[in-house]
Amino acid sequence: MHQLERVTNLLTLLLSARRHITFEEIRHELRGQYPDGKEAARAAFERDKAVLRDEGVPIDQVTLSGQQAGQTGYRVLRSAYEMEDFGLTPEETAALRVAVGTIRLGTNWAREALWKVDLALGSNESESTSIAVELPIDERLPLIHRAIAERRCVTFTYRSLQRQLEPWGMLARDGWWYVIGHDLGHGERRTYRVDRIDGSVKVADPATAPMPVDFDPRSVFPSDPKLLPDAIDVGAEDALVRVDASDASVVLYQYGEEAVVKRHGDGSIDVRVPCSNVQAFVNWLLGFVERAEVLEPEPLRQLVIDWLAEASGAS
Amino acid sequence: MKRQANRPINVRLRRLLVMLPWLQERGTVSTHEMAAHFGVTVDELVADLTLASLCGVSQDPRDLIDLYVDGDEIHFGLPKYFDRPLRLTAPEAFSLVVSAAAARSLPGSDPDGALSSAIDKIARVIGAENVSGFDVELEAPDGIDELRDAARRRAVIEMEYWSPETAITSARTVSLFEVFVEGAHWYVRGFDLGRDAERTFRFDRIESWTDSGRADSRPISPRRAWFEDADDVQDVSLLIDAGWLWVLDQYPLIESAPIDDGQMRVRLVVTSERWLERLMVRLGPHAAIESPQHLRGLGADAARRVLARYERT
Repeated sequence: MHQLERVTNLLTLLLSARRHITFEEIRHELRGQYPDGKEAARAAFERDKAVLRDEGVPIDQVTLSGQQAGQTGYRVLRSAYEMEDFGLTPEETAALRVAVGTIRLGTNWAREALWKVDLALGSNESESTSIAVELPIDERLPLIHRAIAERRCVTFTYRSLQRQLEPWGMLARDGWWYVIGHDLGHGERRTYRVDRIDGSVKVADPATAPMPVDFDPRSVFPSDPKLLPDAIDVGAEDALVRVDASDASVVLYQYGEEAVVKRHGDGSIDVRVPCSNVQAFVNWLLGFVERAEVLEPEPLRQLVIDWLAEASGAS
Repeated sequence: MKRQANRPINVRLRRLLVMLPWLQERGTVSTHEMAAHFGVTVDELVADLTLASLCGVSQDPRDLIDLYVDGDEIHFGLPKYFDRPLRLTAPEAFSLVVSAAAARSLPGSDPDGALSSAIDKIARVIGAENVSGFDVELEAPDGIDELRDAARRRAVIEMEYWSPETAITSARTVSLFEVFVEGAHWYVRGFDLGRDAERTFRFDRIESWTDSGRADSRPISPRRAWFEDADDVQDVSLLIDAGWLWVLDQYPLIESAPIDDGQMRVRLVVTSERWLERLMVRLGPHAAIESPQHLRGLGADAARRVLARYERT
């Protein structure tokens, strides 16, 4: 017998039971389906239960009294198993359908949710939306989300260090997911990028530190100075950059006409661009290769020259 | 019937538990329609439903799940066990709510419309704490709406497109498929009529565009992974200081692994040496090309060129 058949039989039995039933009763009802030996049968039953629980089937488990005292009884309550009715209108389910077609999470979870929410949904529904959002998620996000909802602590490894965080909220920005919360090891608020967590996230003890009222992850972000490594001071918040005519329109798109300090006869422009995060500035500037040049401030210009000299092997 | 190739039992069970109530809702349905809806082959569908029809609390026919497959049709009889789907799992509920919240923040979405009322109704059942606790920021630049509308009309547009590798702006004629955002950037995907191939354009590099007045009806192909359609792809391996990996954040990596001394080895897909050159200048002294060997000097050469500009002034 295929395990899928046995698991399905087991589920029909647990759903139909009017009281908690024991393993021996299950084995009797599903006779011929579990291995003969008691230990092998027990092991197979444990595997079946694990399959059901992993799928989210709420198996209720109690220690029985009376004639079956001490034995474990199992049952699936229909009220806990069955999908609730959200009472959605056809317009609302249609909007969800479009949302699921538009937001590409890179997993099948949203689609499976939609199948459950909208039993009337047919296969011919077009979900072409002309607009799409790539927003990949992985199994760690629902776990962190659950921890936020239940006000619990999460533990994980980040940059090779074990972290304990009481998460307050998550924010998706520029396609990355961040979790913000109270870091127990550091005793302060910290922000972590979820895809950079090494391995799995575990939901642990209830949170103890108070969470800010009406916490808004946008209001505290970016908060982590580590996102700005080796902060370098060049004595200015803005840099003056000369950009060749070929690339001028892109820079104007990014910074607007108000950033222009001077226009030259050959079409090149001098623009003021923020440089308080020097690394980010240099990364932006060098994206233009030899078609742009930082003029001021002098320490920043020197830093770029040194950078290029080192990169060209001249130092 | 074809052999069931490696479909894990949990996936088959998950499908079955949602397919049965769906089928019950309809009574009779074609195998093709049902297979298409649930993303399985007809063979897989028939195998799983046939197996389900042998299941129940006992082998008494009156206890078995009441369905049968007859040629191209599936018939469902009396409801017995699975009237409703299994409750949403945490990842399913999270994904659904994230999708709804993200879609609501897209341009053109009515903040008080059907998505909001759907989220409110879901919150009433699963709890407000399960639909909150996260925020999706999607800032659409001005002009995205118009391009999205043009894509919806299946318009062919004429655009001036700037390439960062060549610094050249060229005229392109594109039959629009969709606009999308990935990472920090918005893109336009379509069929480039001049180049006779599907292309993806970064929105902030489109200097201008106009609707040609023509529409196209070619089928919209699903989006492929980056570079899957590129002709001249190189697999490049870099050694990079771990602290500088962020420069690569927006690019897909084939793999990355730590090596000694705080360095990482990363492999990435490169379609243009000009692009790689820019990347290496941006990484400067913090990375080196390991392979292919003939590209090892690329970054240093480009850095020398940029340096020459600074020496002139």
